[in-house]
Amino acid sequence: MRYPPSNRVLWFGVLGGAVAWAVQFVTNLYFTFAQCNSPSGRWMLPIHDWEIGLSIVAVLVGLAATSVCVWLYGRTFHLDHVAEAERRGLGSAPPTGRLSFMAMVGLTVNFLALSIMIMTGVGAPLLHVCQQS
Amino acid sequence: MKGTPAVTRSSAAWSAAAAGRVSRQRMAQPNGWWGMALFLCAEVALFGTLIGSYFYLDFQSHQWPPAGIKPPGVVLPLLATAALALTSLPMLHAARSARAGRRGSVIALIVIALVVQCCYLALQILLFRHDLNQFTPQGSAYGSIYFTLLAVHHAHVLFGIVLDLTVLFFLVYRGLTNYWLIGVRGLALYWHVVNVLAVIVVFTQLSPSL
Amino acid sequence: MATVISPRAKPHVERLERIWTERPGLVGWVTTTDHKRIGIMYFFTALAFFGAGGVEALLIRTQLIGPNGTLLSPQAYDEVFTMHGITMIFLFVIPMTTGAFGNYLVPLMIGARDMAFPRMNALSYWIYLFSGLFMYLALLQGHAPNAGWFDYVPLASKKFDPGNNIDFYGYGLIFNGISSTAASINFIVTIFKMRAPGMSLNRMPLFCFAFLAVAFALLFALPSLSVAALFLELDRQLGFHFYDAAFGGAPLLWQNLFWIFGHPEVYIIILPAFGIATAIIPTFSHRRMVFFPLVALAEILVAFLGFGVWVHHMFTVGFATVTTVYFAAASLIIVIPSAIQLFSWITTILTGTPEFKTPLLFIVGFIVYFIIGGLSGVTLAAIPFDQQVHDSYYVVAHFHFVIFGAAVFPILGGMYFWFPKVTGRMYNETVGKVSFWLTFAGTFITFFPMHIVGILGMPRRNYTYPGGLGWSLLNFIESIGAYILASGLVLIVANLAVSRFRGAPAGNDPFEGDTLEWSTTSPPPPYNYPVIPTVSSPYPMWDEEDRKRDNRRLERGEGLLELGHETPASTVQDAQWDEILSMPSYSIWPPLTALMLAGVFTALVMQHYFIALGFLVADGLTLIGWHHKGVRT
Repeated sequence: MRYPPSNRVLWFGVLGGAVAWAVQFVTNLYFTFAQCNSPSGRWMLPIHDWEIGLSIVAVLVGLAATSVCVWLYGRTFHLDHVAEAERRGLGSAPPTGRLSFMAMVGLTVNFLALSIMIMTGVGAPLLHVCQQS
Repeated sequence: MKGTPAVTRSSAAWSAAAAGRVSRQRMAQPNGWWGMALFLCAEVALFGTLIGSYFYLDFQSHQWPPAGIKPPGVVLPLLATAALALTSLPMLHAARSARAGRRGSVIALIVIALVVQCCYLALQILLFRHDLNQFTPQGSAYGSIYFTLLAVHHAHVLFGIVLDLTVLFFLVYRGLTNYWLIGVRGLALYWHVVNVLAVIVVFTQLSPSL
Repeated sequence: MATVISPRAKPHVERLERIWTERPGLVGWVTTTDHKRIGIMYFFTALAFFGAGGVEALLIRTQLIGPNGTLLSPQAYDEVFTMHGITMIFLFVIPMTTGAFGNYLVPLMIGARDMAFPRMNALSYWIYLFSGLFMYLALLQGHAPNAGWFDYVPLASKKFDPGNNIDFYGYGLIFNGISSTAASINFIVTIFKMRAPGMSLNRMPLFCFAFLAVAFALLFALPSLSVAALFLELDRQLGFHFYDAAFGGAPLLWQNLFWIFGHPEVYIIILPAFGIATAIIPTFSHRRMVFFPLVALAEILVAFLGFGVWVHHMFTVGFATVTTVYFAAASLIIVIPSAIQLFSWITTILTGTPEFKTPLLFIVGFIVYFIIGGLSGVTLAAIPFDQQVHDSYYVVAHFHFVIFGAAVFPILGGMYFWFPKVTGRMYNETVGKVSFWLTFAGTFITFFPMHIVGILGMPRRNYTYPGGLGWSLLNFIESIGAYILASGLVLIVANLAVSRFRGAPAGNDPFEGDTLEWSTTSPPPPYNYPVIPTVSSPYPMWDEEDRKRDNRRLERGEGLLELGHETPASTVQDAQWDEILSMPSYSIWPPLTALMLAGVFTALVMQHYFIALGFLVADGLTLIGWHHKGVRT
């Protein structure tokens, strides 16, 4: 990837995992509503298969976004810390300081989003469909 | 920041040509454009909630639509929505003409879009009344969500028409100043989002028949 | 910037003073669009509603001081506890944080001269005021909303609540929501576009990150509440059946829609408090915030993840576990960003040289109560435990620790912290410390026993309880705590009120603050900054080179933007200077528009639909009037 990254790549890196989580979340939720909130027999959906499938796709998107952030963080780490050592403030002038900042933000966001996606992606299919808690 | 860089005093752009120049010189989107974009985020959330509610009620019912109510006809709503969605083209060109400083084109393009939008709304009102004769919102949850979803959408189209007329009035009365150039761009953005929402709403409305 | 203006700079400053002069008298306040004046109006209005909500709280605690209380009838109790919740959440905490603190401070912190849309800012205030008066009109009429602030159907439906109590609730919340939606748009555009050139995203103060997160959360959450209230009113007024199971509707739909708004709402409540804490801690610890990027990220992430946890308010309604598991997972993960912030704050205080003045004391109190409230929250995220304590006082304890302990304490600390900046006077430090300890003790004594009495089985939302269950002593203690808490709060207000007139002059920067507002005079001039500031870090006041450079530019007359009501606009990510904007000044349109809108909602609640339509058309006309001269009002 070229440096500095284009806006599209940058914002994918920062937000990709979060958006993947949001899509996985809303879609899987509506699958469960369709299957479990409806009177029995109305929908017969293989929701565990769909949940697993969608979770895998979402996790892959999250991993892609994470790798963008890892690359960007590595690329700007040295530059930013040299600048930091020279002055009191946080890091170097735009865009390096901002890019480093966004990379760190993206890493954490993606890590947490991946955690939720993996927790639910593994947990939901282990449960009996439509058993009440 | 060394000295005072050569940035424009945008509000001083009173003529169409000056406004166009200011528009092309900007690096970021103007504040008014951002304001409209964020307002539209809230409107998208609004429709998301309405459509989510539609399917929530759908999924938890025995039969949808309930017994005695025919699923909606498909052809007219789809054709009408296609016509509305196509008005994004004149609106897109209106925004481009505004950035180029051509007031006459802007006015003509908005008028074209306005005519189609008014015809769309008139047809939809007729269809709405026709549906009301078949079943009512007070008769079932299906009726309630069906008519509410459509009414909220049509209200947005009506609001857009009022915005069209307001922008046209000020373009004639005040000219294509910087302020109204941003207004035209905001208006175009409004219609793009409303048109996309129209497509989603019509597919929701017609989901039992598809 | 220097308080003493050099002779070379004087003519420039005088010119700015003339352009930005403040109109005196009532007319000046009614037509103002200045963010500082609007912030002050929000402050006093929110404080008045805090008092009303506080009186309601004291009535509740007095009713519950012993078993079989007779102070309030069941109907009166229902109205009081409902209005307590509505007032505190919609009419106090959100307006105080976003309207008062946010409005006053965000433009100052980013080096701007006003918000992006000054007239819309004023509109937000007037709509807030009228919506608050609208809902209290219900109380005066004796028909206050009475089904709880969460207003579950079927209790809130026409069948079980036939009067117009709930209509005031439904219409009132839609009305109030317009104010907050407009305010959030204003905050986002201001934070995106109006930052001083050089203030790229990584150099923006953490306070602004918190408010950016709050604004986005409000924008996406409020439509859900408005739709819920719309459906409710359509059911009640026109006989629709959204929530009516007999006709195919779903009572649970209300709960889902309400909590899709309601959960982000509680993060909206706490995020500004995080912002205030992150402003006070570096100042009084005399060091930069540890892990700055992670704190910024945590603030935004909490708002985002907050949209994915709403069913944790509904773990007992009978959803399948395959549904609730998504929410349990998100509810557990959302603890992490909060914990990141907590560790960062504590580390910053411990590794700095902390000065425990009153504002920092309130922040320490906030940290303690946030930990307690957060821990009880984590336990509630576990479905099995939640199902045991749902609807008991355990939940009441949890949310009062996080709402009062964690959201209000920074507000109180912030009131002390920025009091010198806003008024130019210092508050009394000794009385301040006493007021802190009274408030801190009162909070603990009132709310901690609620954990215990909740686990002992005391249900919430009940107007009284029988004796002999082991609840009486604990309730008595809680009520005494409430009186102690009230006295602490009264002492805070008294301290500030008296100091307003008798406090020592404060100077520009009594606390050696880190953000730009400390560079102006106290109070700031109407134009905020004579010269648009140079920024190269999130702690501009600690960058002495930049401040000296600004002084030199003021002397040379550079970067003043004095040809009118002007302020710069810059790009979103890196704050490169993009254009010079002309801002509106005094305008009658915002209060007029708000008044027409008040007419719409009043007519609706009285079921005069054609009059409501008339007011709506009038509102449209005022909006046209608003725009007819562009920015020249």
